[in-house]
Amino acid sequence: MSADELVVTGLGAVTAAAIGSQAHWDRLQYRGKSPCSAEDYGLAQFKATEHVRDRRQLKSVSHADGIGLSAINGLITDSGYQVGYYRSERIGVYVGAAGATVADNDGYMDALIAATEPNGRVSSPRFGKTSTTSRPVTLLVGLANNVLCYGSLLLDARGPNSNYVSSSTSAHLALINAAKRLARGQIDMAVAGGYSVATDPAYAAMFKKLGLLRDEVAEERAQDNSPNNSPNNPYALRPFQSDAPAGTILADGAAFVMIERRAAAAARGAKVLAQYCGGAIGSDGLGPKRCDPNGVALIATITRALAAAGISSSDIGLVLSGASGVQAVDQVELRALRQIFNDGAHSPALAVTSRVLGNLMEAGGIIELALVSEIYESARIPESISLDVALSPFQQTLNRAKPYALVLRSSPWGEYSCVVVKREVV
Amino acid sequence: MTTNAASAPNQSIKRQQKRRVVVTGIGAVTPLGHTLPDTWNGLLEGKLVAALIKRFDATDYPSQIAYEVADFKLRRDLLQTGEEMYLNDATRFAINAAAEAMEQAKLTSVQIEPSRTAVCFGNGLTCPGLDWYSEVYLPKKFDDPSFTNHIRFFADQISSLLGRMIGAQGGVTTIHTACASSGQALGEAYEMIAYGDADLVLTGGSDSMINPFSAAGFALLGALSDRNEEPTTASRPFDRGRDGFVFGEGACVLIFEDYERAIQRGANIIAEVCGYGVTESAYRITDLHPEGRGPIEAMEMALNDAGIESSAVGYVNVHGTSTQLNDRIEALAIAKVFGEYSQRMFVSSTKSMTGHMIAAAGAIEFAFCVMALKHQLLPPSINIFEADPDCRISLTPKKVTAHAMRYALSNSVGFGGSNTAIIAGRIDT
Repeated sequence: MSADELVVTGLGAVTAAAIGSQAHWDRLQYRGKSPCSAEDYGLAQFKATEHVRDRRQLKSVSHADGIGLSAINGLITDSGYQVGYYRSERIGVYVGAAGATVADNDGYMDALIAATEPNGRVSSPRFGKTSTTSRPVTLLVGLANNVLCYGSLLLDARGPNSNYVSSSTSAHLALINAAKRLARGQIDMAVAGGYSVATDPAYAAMFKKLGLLRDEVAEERAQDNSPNNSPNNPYALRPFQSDAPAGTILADGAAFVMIERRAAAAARGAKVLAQYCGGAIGSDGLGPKRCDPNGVALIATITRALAAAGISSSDIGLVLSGASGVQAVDQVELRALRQIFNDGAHSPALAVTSRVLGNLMEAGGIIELALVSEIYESARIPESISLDVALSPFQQTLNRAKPYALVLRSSPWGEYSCVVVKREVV
Repeated sequence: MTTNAASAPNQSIKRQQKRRVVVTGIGAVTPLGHTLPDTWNGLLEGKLVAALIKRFDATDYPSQIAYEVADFKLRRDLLQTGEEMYLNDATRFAINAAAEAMEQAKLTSVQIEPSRTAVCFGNGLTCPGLDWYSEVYLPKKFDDPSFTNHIRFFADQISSLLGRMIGAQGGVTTIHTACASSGQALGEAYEMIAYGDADLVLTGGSDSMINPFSAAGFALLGALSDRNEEPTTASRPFDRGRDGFVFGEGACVLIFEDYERAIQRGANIIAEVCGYGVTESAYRITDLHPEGRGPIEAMEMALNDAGIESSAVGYVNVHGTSTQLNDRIEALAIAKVFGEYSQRMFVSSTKSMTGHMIAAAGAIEFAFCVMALKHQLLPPSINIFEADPDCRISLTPKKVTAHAMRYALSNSVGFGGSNTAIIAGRIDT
């Protein structure tokens, strides 16, 4: 062990599955009903006021921002971090966010209705007048960097920062770039993660228009009387399963981790969840909604991440896939993984967290970091995230002698990220 | 709260050797012109193109003026089948600017290594117009075919298209930190190359917020100038009578490249990227800290990263939005960082001529720094009728002026508290 190793020392996570680090692990053990719909993965009723210590921060932010800030509040508790421990300018905050959504303009709803003419069209000049009665902070609600701002205030963090609006790889971009700053000695601690906006109806509708969403199965599901958490539930999100309905299910959620140097974490008595070893990003370069079916760029991304971690593919014991039900993308991931792990003797176990968490989009790929050590400790892949068919050469049993895990993210835009973590032996 | 020893800078970590990063191509679409040369010439002439908004009927809005990109023609030959559906104004501007930058960098005629090529781009919060709200959103007709309009506003559409144009397989990153977006994108692009993660990065920013929602929203915050009767003189950074910013729009794309690689392939090197600083004010969502904390630390970080003394900087292109608070505090920050030398070093805000290009501002203003170094010319300070005595900085003259300088610094400040400073250095020819 080196004092300069980077370690993950806390998780703040809010999803429809659970709130908090331990609760997410507990949820993976659950053997009851599987989530099957956007409603199951949504947090429309979530009340950020119950989770954010400074409620004034919620006055001019969106519902999704509230979920993100709740996760950061949870992270501070989970990591045992005392604000002020590190110097403000040596703390980085790196966020993955969804960008603007049309619902951000809901604060103008009264003004829009008041400016609507009898023919149903909103008059621009009238809106110019009626909008002046909207709340002064209406524009601020839609800022895509609210969580970065208020999270920094909460942590008194004044160091390097960024806010990535890069779809499914956003949270990994945040984590990888924060870790690079740490590794270079430019900061001492970083908070990194992301939050999604699946609740936004227009956002979901846009995904549907692009043919990426799975058709709702609520009606059929209502007739299904087999409550189970089994991968065999036909209505569950089942990436890689050839008989699963095509398309993804967007999920609300937020997840942030704290990352710092091992020696500093030990000095403040922090519990280490995993060791961060390296990460990389890549892209197909083919434009929106186009993926290279051969997975060349994803293979290169995984290879770079392994190199950054200083290990080879044979050291990997566990792959936590980013597959989320978009078959074209999932197939790219599967092809890339097959090529990386073509030696059957070294094949890792493969698990898919989107089964439980849904497609967390900009928040995805973070909760996994905190689950790796738990999975190794229990020596088995929880049934809730395992696969029901053999995907040779992948195993369903865990080889604990291989302590490294790969966490992948991939998007229909042909953008990829890969993070390598090492289990922490408790 | 006591500060623990762990918070002291960690001396045991070996400082990573940085590679030199250079600019080999720039493209721009701005209210001043549809190419970089046209934009630069317009800037030197002190062209004032602000006018009443034509993009939508702005009658009865508190602020009715903007610097619009007029008579723009998208280079459709650059599009592939099916890409039309992803285009909004900001995307269109970015495509033309990227093509210009790539042509200048001669990337269309040389082989680039895709896995070492990346995109890191800043974009804004563009949104559909009122028609879309009338026809789709208010009646909740999301299944209406016209709903595809919203696909145009998905956050990383622009970067994805630019990634396709340059064939980037080394990653596509989109950043949004409000008005600091493209300053931050440039900084991260520079670091990707400096620390060996990529050899070539297409970077920059693009934005268009000239729409009813932004006009209403910024007016509600009191951030816009309402000098509707005198649009050309409304954006007046550091003038005593300034009353808010004026919208601009456009795109600026730059090609950053590893110096050795650029030399090897005989690229035309325009300038060097020497240092980058990024901080968070952690104060208020819209306001700068009254003592300038944040911008001060970003500038100091950039100077330290570049390894130069503050007195080596010959020109600072400030964020200078023309709001009372921003300009006063930014001037304070410059005085603090540059000390007495701030009275001899030249400063200007080019937003008097471009308007506030929001997420594209940092990129175009850094490009102006690069051009100032290349030509050894200071952009003029326009619309200063009575210099604000509370802004104790040395503004550039009102006419373009020759000035020998080695380094220039560009500042960006965003809602949400992100601050960036990026330093360009002259390349000896």
